[in-house]
Amino acid sequence: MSSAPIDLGELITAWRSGKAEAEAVLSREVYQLLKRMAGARLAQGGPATLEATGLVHEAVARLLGGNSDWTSRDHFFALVAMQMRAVLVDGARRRSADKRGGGAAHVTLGGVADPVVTEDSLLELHEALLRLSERDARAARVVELTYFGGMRAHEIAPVLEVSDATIERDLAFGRSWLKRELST
Amino acid sequence: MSVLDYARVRDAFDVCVAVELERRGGLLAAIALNPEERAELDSLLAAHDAHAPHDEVSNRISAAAANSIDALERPARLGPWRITGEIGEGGMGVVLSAVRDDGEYDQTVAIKVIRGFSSAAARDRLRRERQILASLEHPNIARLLDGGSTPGGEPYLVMEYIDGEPLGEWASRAQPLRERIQLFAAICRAVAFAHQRLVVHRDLKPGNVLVRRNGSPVLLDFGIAKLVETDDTAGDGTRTHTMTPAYASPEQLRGEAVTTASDVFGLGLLLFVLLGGDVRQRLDPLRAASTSVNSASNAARGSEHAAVRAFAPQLRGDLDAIVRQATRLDPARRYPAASLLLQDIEAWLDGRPVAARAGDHWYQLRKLAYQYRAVLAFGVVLMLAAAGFTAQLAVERNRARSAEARALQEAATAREVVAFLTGLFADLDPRRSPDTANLSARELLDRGRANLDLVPASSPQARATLQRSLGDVYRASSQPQQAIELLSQARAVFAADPDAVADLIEIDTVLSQAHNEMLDVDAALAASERAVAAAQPREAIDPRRLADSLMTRGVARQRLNRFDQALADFERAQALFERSGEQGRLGLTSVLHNRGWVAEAQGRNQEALDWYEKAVAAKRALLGEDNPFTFNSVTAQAKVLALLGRNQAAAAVLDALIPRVARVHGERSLSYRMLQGELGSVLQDLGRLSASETAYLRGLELSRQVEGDTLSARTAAMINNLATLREERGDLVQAERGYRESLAIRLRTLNPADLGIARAQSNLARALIQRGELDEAGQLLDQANASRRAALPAGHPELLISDGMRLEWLLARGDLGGANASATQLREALASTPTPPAPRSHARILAVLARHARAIGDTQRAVALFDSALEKLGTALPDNHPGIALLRLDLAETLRASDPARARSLRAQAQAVLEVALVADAPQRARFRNE
Repeated sequence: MSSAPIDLGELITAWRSGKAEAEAVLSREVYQLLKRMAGARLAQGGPATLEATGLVHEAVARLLGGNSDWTSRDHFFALVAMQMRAVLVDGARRRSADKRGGGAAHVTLGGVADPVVTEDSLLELHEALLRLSERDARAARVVELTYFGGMRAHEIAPVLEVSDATIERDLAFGRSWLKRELST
Repeated sequence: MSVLDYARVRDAFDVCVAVELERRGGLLAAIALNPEERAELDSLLAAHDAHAPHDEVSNRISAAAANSIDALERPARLGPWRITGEIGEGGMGVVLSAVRDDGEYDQTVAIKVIRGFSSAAARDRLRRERQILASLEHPNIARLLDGGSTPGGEPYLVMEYIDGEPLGEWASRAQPLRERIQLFAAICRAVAFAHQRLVVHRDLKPGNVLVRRNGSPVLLDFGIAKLVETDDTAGDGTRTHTMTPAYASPEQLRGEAVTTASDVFGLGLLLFVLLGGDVRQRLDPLRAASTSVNSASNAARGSEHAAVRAFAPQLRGDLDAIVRQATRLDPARRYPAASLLLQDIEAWLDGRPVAARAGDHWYQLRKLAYQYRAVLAFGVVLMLAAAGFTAQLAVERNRARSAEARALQEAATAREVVAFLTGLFADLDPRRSPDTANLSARELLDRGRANLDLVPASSPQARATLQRSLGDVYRASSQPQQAIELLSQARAVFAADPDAVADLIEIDTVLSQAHNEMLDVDAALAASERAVAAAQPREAIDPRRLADSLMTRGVARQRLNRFDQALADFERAQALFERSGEQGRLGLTSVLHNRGWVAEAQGRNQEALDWYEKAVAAKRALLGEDNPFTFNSVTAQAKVLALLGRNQAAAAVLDALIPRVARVHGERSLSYRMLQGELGSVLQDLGRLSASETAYLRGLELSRQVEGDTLSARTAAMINNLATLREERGDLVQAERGYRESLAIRLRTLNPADLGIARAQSNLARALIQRGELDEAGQLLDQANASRRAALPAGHPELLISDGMRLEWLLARGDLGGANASATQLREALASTPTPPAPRSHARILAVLARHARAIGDTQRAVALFDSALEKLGTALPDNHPGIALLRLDLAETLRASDPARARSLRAQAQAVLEVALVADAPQRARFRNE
């Protein structure tokens, strides 16, 4: 049985004020929201390419409204970006499992050259990111926020509490690392 | 065995990529790394340097995202939901139970598969409207989680599955009365929550309320009836009927618009059922539409349940009244919002008096609400703020309409909107809703405007509709700049629609009003000319819109000093308003006001005051005290009182008005700022110079905040008035600076013929004369004089002021010959004018004539003229005003030889005032210090 619907505004307030237990619940709700939004986009027959960063921005805008001067906005952004990654990875993993389970033929949207490769490639990326985070956790986080959240260095810097230049260096390193891992 | 230290690899990598490629070799040699680390670094640097046309990471992510949701579903599964069974079959289709079994989150849901949704357009609309419902998150509302289409193309809705007991069953058990009412309060709260987000349930009935084991109610199918009914393309045979006749409101049974009031009716029936009532009598729709429900206490007395019979006596009085009030046949006589019904329920629970028993006052509130259009319009904004997605709803409604159905549906939509607004109006009342009390109207507006960006650019119609609504609100709340921006954008879209003539007339009319408020008269005239031209051919069918457009054109003409044309527009509008019945009543009050304005502009101040007082009385009766239209006329009344020298009265009017304006429009509104300026001016005339300066500075500070670098002509007026205050205090440097700024703004913003420019030139000239800058002063006076003569009829008081300034200048130059001629002419004009200038200007003219008399040695006449100047000034200003003190000083200097005793006494009187009023380095100080 599902839990009662949750007031997201209240949840965000609780999370902002540092309530540790709020983060898990909020993450779960954000995950759900992103899924719903992604689903709604595709169901509407919108553009075939679902832009992950666009979804993240839209979700943040929806959840925070016009509060642009909100001090923890970047932190919230980061939380949403993490969930976006989870949504995409879960989706890829599920379809991948479906195929192996021998279920009905998997139908994808047109326009993508080779869906099988696409799904596996995201999982590959995900696993590479996991490996990177064992070696350089911050660089992995910077990559995640950049690519899944569409965040810029100056937005990431306050979240990770380092300078913009450090973020740039992390990104250069993380990108090189992933490029090497994915090409082998 | 060496260990790979990643921190060292990373440090080396950072250093290497920071330098030029050719310097890297040297660097690498200098860095100590073990072989594993070196190999790792080398491969990473190679990846870094490798040329890649695309960003691999980004490519993988976007390709994966495109595939993240399956586009088609397998049978026995719908999306991520695995069907586990069937819950039931209802009017709209089958209801399935399902679980989500992707291992992430276990969740049981109810899936409604909707039948008979034949057209693709209807399905599209369903998909979109679903989003609005998905955003409805409340603990007492079952969530709409998801939705889609089955492989067969039937739409389905996924809802939170609620494990609970239907309300009817719950109520048939022996629940105590108080718990029943508490349960009902929770239901009301949920409905009020949804109403604030623009969602009407439409099908409230006991079967749609489940009570959880913990006793909390959950509303099912919120707004679903609406989703399903929108299949307007299906034939009658297949059309889905979702409302439940026994619980439907009379207006639903008649097929009229469903509003928040319909839900209030449904809530009333739920309460009735909770109290033991039985709605079987309503099974016949014809009877149900015209018969009220039984009284709750009577119904309970006849109940088959002993527990219900036991509390029947407690229902008499308050609870009977609440049910009656909620279930009135006429929607307009019910509680206007669920939140107000809730209030009565809470009052009952607290043992406080219940509003329903006070009589029909909701009806009056509703009537009033129709009149509070500006306040109501904030409701629109609240809606925008609360539900950005509503916009899309509006687009879809507009788009899907066939041409014939359009007019009818628009009328229905309009009724729905008004009903929503009425409900929101009540919700916005700060005494009832502490949440919205913290939001000023301005914040609501700005939030609404920000949310406009959520409207997809692909829906220009909806965007335009919302821009227009917001523009109207900005205009009504006295923020014309924002109004012009939004309305101009909206206009471009409406202008392309040949069926939108009436809308276009209204937009142009409001645009003209906004331009007028900005004193941009040319733009205002152009917009109103467009409106009149479009409204003219429709005079017979739509006299009121023509009248409205004539009124705004009259205002623009008036500002261009075309008084006769303006009066003609106002009088013609008056006749049209009289033909428009109820709709024209507001317009008639504006006619009263504008005729006052015409009189005022032509210097007939007493007549103007009479018109304004009539306008104030009419608006108070029609609109109430806290209405922007009433504010306008009260403001005008205060101004003309000040012109007539009745400053105490004017200050009293303003003191009462300003807090009201702050409450309704906010402190950053143009009208609040301008009233601070007006108050400053009245206080200045009352001699309360510090308070006056405070008021001016407050208004100016806010104006500079709001207007930034592009100060408006209105602000220029405030700057000008502050400069006159500084001039009075002998601070000529600041005065000159202020006058220059005011003139510069007016030259930039006003029509060249506008007399505001002439007045600014004249004022600057006066300051320059006192500072000895006679050449520039002379040029300015020439320009001012030319504009005034071109615009004003002979004998107009402002022309006398112009002549007075000329004489002042001639005297300052020592040109006695010119001064003699000018003085003779001025004396004659003053004696023969039918409309003497206001007391201050009149005194100023008499004083300059006196100085002329003194200059030519005619002391006796000079004394007489100074005395009459003082007398005139005394009618407008208090005795301790620095303006009077300065005149006394003049008179004392004139009397020095002939009447030294009086001269000494006058000088002493003046000195006492001026010591306080003048700034430290005021040149006038020398005049009493040197004696």
